[in-house]
Amino acid sequence: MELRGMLHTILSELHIGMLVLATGMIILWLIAARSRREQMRTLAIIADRTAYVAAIAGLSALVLAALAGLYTTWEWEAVQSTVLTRNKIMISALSMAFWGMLVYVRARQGEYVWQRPAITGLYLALTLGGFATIVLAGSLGGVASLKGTILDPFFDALKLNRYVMLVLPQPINYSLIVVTLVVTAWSFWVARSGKADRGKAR
Amino acid sequence: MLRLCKVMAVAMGLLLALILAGPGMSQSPDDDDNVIWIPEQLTTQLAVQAAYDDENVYFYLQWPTDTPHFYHDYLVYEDGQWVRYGASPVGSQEFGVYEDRVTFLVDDGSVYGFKNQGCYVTCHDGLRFMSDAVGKDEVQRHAYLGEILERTDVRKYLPQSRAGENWYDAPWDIVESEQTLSDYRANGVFLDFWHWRAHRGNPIGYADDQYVMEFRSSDEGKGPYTTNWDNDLNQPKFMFNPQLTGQYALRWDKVVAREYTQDDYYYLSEEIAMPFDLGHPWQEGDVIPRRLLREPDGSHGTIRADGRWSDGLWHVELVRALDTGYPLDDKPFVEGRTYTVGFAIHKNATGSRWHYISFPLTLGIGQHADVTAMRLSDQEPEWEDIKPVMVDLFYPGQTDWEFVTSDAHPGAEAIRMDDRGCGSCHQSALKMGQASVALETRDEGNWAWTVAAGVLVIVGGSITVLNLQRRKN
Repeated sequence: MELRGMLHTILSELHIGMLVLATGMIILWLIAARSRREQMRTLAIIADRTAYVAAIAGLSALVLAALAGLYTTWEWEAVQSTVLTRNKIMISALSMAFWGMLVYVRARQGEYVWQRPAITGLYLALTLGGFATIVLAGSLGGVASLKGTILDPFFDALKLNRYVMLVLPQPINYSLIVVTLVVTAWSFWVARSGKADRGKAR
Repeated sequence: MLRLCKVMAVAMGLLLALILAGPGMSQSPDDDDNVIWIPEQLTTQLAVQAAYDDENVYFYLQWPTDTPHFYHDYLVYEDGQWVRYGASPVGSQEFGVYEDRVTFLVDDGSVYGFKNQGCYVTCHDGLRFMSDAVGKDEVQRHAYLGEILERTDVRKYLPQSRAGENWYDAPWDIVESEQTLSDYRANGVFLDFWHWRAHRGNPIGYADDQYVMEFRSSDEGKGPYTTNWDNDLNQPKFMFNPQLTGQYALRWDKVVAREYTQDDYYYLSEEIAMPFDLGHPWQEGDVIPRRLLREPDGSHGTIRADGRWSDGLWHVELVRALDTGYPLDDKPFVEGRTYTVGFAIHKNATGSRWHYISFPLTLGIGQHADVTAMRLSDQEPEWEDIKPVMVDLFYPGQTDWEFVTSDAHPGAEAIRMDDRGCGSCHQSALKMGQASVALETRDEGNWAWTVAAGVLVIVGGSITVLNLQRRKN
């Protein structure tokens, strides 16, 4: 059990390190890309590629850490019934969604991600969300393992109780799901009709 | 398009904020159907001092409460009938007519688990006022609790009183044989239960004396109160003697306004009572206490009490003989020995399980411990000379013995092995309170939907931006 618990710890350290590196590199790109100096532009290219690779590695480690956490730390019944772990699973799932979409966007758009303001905005939003969620998930892990984290004073000052189940009222859940599905379906329709228009124009 | 991206980014931020808003956005924790009521404050403190002399042991207990509650269980004259206000409530009694209390359990090492887990060994699935409380009919049909003890609910009991496969298995309905229970008790396997009540005993200078074994039972003898109600005539048995108290009854509007002070006759005792007079012209809003205080005797009347509220604190002194001479009900205190104690207080007009409890502490009689009872040279303790021990207490919710020893509790193995206490993992009273509330109010149904909604918003939002960008290109 000790050894198996260690696997989760190692993978957690790995994904946090990688994803923080990815975040740092994206911030570095924002700084370097504004410069007109050639060296800085080269640095921006390296930062972008490093961020991409680090995000892929970090996301992989995050998934493996989550699986190791689910199956190799506490008894499954305890994982399921403890509010702290439920919160951690939720925040980790959101983190996977942020980083997964970030990797997907970067894979689809390539370096165009930095040339189209809308995509750049999306990319930065995903980075921000991904970073915030890994910090939160890591903090909850620190509480669960009874070690505490440097964020504890922050949570205490804000009177945030990490033992309260993070849930939204069901009407809000349903609304979010329905609205998202409708808007996403509409965007597919818009994209397809645009493609058809371009085809006709040709 | 950039505007849309900003909107999406804000939407994602809002989603995170919504989820992290936590308690504010989750369903209300108070739930009358499941007898759930969460106090605003999850923790409080109790100052404990102890001393002893050749004859007696003394405790001095102080805890903060802005409003003292010493009114309790009143009969109010309404529309020609006496209506009861102040039966054991779910949470805080709305008119404040439920008394404050301080209690503690004492073990001399005879009770399995108490040294490490304290009061948790007494709290079980199915107890009254739990969401899964056993029904009255089921208890009444039970061969021992119903037919022999004539109980209608399940209250505190020890795992040792139940015949489980392991020492920690303690289903409410599998009670050990009467002979085994009797043997255990003769060997001191029970918890001595000191029970001070602001109304039912304190005004006449007594605390209740009970014990916990197969049930939370009263010691032998007459207790410090009885019920002032005649079931046959459907009226109180006693009322105030106006020649001694200057009143026939209290007034409900004054009770609600808390105008009766500790020096007034807010209680009814044998000394100031007279038989109820049906012919008296009772007025709407007249109030007669539903409890009659009386001089206790036998093992039941061994704890003297002097409690008074002032400056935002209850100050309660309890005195009992070191050895009461009732070994089946009371734990004798012996100089040089160490005991385990677990404290609890009720405040804010709450009863039953809406209390604050402590981790177990050691109590040394002239022996260094968490709480050290100092030897007195004089008869009367000078409490100013004895440093109080500040004890943190927390709201335990419905976290019971069955949960803490189950696989659903990450620390269960340590408890089943009885080698560590709750405090070794839950490092503070606040964290215990928070974890307890989390367990009591968790909502698994919404949880899965919230995860799904969150993930979908992130994925769907991102795809939408990509699609709209495709359209633009």
